[in-house]
Amino acid sequence: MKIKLNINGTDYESDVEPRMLLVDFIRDVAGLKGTHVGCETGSCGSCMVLLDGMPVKSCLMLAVQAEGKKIITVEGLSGKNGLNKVQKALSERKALQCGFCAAGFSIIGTWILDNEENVDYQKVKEDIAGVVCRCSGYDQIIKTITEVAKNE
Amino acid sequence: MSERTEKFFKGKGSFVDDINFPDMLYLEIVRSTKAHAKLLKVKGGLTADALDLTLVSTGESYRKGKNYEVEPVLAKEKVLYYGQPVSAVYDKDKYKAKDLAETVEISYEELKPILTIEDSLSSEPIHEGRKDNIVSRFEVGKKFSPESKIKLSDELFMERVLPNPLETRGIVAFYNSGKLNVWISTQSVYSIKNGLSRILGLNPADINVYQTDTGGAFGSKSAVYPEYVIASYLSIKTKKPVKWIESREEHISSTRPGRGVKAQLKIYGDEKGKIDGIEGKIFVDVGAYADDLSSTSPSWIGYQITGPYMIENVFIEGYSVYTNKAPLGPYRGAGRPEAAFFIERMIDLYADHLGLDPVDVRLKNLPEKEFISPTGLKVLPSKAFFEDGIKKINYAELKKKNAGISFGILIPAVYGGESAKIKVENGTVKVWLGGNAHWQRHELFVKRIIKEVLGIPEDKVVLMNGNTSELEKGIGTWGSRSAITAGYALYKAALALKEKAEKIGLKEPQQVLSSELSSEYYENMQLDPSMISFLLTAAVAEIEDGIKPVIKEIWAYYDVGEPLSLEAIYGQITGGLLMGVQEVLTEALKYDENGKPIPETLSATGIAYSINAPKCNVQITSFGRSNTPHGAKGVGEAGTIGAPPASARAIENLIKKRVNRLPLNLDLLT
Amino acid sequence: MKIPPNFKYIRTYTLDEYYEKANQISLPLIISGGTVAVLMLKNRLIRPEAVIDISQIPELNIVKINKDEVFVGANTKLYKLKDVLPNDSASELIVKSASTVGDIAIRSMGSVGGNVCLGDSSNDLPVALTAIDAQAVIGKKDGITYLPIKNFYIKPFKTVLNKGEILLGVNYKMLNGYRTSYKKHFINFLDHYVGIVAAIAKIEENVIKDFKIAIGGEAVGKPVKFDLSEFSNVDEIKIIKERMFDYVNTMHIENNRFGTANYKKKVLYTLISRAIDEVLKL
Repeated sequence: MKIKLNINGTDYESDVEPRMLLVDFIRDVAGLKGTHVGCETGSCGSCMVLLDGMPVKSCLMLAVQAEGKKIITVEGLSGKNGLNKVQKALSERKALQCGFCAAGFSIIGTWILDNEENVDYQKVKEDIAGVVCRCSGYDQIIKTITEVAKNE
Repeated sequence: MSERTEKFFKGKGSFVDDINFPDMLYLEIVRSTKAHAKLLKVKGGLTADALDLTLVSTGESYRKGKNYEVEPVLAKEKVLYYGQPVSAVYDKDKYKAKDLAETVEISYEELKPILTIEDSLSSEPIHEGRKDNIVSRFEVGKKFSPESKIKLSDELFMERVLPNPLETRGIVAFYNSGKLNVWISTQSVYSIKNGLSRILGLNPADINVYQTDTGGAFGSKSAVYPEYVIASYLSIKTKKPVKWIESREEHISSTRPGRGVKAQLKIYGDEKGKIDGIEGKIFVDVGAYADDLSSTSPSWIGYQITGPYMIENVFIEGYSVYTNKAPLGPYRGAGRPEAAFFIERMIDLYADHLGLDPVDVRLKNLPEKEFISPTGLKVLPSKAFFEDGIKKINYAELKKKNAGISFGILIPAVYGGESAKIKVENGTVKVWLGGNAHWQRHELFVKRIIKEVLGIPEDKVVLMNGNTSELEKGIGTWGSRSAITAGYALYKAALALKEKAEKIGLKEPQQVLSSELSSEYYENMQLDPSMISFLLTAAVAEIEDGIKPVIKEIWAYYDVGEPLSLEAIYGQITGGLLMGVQEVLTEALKYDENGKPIPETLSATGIAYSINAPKCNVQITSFGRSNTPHGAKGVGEAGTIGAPPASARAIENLIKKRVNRLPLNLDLLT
Repeated sequence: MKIPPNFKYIRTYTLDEYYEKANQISLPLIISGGTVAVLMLKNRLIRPEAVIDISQIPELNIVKINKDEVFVGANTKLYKLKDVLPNDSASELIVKSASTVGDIAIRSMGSVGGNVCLGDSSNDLPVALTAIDAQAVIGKKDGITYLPIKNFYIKPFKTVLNKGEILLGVNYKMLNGYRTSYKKHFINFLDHYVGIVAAIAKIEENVIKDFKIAIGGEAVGKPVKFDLSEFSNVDEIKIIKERMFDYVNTMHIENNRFGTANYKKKVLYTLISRAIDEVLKL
């Protein structure tokens, strides 16, 4: 089945099986490795991307379901100026440890910045709940995103 | 790029699933769906019968001299745990490999699965040729006849817990031109190299192991698992690169969980709060197959049961026993949290019996000078540390909130020492450590040490991933060892490089940076009491609406020796604290009556999400330096040691019922 | 790895197209948001001949308000409900319920239809919809039928929908001036819910004009509705709670990985009590 997906502003066309998962299309067809598979059941957020501006778990979608929509992956968040605000802050504050959750927190953090108002620590703590970090205990991540959002 | 995680934000990481080669084959393992059964028929894929035994040791040769059964590469004749590898299939297309896996036919004759320590002790041996299911028996300490006024006993239990790093296990094996190259998510490229060499009968010089960017491990990525052997074997046979990526479901059934320990203990003391002795039995559920680590676990736990305390009489009988479950492995703490939970819970029992403040009882039993426990554990006096800590966390206030307190020690696993290599080229200082980082941000202490010894600025230093072709010999990262051992080796390597540089007239850091110098250092190390850190943890709980137990806030006052990197240290401590809290509340690997793991998803394993995180108040201090040039102590497992007993006690204080089993039995709330 | 089996993919753009295809395919699987459908495919719990994507069918993508009746199309995403539903109390209860499903990403992907049609005792919307006497709007080739939500479920994971039928959406009457409460309890986040309680009550000067509670969750199974309008005054709160306590006590609940029957009963009763407090107390 021929499908065309728009990822980070670029169209990727490929003949794939209907069963191909969106995360596998992103990683293997488009070659964008920043989005990860962590749990395969939508329980960890490692596979999070933005679909028409909303965070979705790409391991729970068929690639074909994303046709006609705008997909932004972690690679698409950084522009020619480098990392975006959330990513820059998380990196500088050394909020992550192993780094596997970078895509997940980049996506949800960016979404919070663009969509949430009156952001405080508790709101961020709840909003990021769908993304797992097994290493850090979350505190530094929440603090960082809260601060960036408050300075917006 | 001076900040390591920056590349992940750009999507430029190189985790094992990101590694691809042309003509690569995807490996799928077909696993047993029974916990205990005879294999009547296995049709399809690579099976135990088809393994070229000149090429693969299924464990017998390694077993020589060991008194335990090693996990075979593929099950033969019998399966002994749900999820045990039975057959292996592969295809160029990973989706088709999955389809192929479904075509493998396995028929079983089911046998009764042994699923608890109690069953194990009273059942027929699951391994033929053994007289029972006891793998090993140890005696720690010395038998004693207590004449104490107070004798209290209890049974304590910690359920199995899965490491569940966010990145599951994975390997890419490529055998070509007579060399086996392996890319792997791992805690030790050396464990992998040595293990593959032994099992595949390959000359170690013909194996190169490269650590890929690693998404956490927490103990799960040090062993040489059957899948790694199968991937390598298939690459040798097909001459193609073979990739295997673990699914989360497989992690739940087949990666080595930790904990799974029962203790029946008696504490003896006088009426004033002075402990005379500890006695009892410790049982470790090692699962269906054992190894050096799991079979000696009971003695390792018994060894540190006295914690920071001066307890003159100790006698522990330790048993490791077989069950029809996945083999046991190290999980963050690996014996340390178990020992701490056991002694701390018994001390609380004792304090409660006497109506004394549990902190007072603990302080009363700390040694005034260096103490050698009957188990052989040597600890330095720590009263000043804990008294200081009690003040710093404002215990007087915490008492009003029904806080639970724990005192603990962290014994780093320094045995084996460590190696380090420094190579200066193109204006960059590249460092390899035998103990490769796999989440802990070792690069932070690496930069600090290079700056301190060589004066080279931090942004010119890069910590490379583990690599056996760059650094031939090394140990690995576990047991909170790296700051001490790898830090030590790096320090020495840096001094050696400095000496080399000065010999050829390069005195300034800038000159060294423009050179092409390199140096390497390896040294074994012995545990010194100065390397043991002290831990004070406090937790405050709440039972929301009477039905939901939560830990609201945690205080940690931890001794880290000389802090080499505050960020790395705080990160390690908070991450460990959350894990320790969660294994009291919900995180556990339980099995149904057929021996099938109950959790079907990552969330069902009970791990902590952001909404589970308590408020953490972390204070670090240096209660003496370790006897290394850099003075640092271990910190990685500190949170997992201190948090469980403090959290259990905090809940106990609220519900007024004894919490001696983890995870918390919710029925206690009714 | 979890990988779906092979299947044909059919995207339908109109209801007629759907009815035609659904009747042609021997084993179809409907996908709207897909969070559960894709997971079931990955687990290979179902091996459909074809997956029929209904996410583009216009009748399922609308929200219609006609006098005091609201129709919510099955494809409406859970996160969108707060923006597209009116401001009355019945809608408020639905929004409260939908805002607790999974996490932000699940709510961005999941649809009303998916949450209603799965038949999982942990689904949120069925409980809220039961409390407000909503109806399932079922479409088939020869017409539309309306069925009270509580009759929509036969047993776990089984609704009354036959092959060729489709949930067009849900229908409910707006309620004004009611107080709402939505409470639930889980052991593990993103795992099943032990208990769910939805309550809605109209109080005028301490007089109870209307009062309904629906309970669901793993401990309950299909949502159960209680009409408590027989109680006339908020002062009877103690008796109301006793009545609910007695009911919970008589429930047959299994011991399983979510807890013992004792614990689950305590959970249910606690949730009910809190919900009653929220709607009856000022």
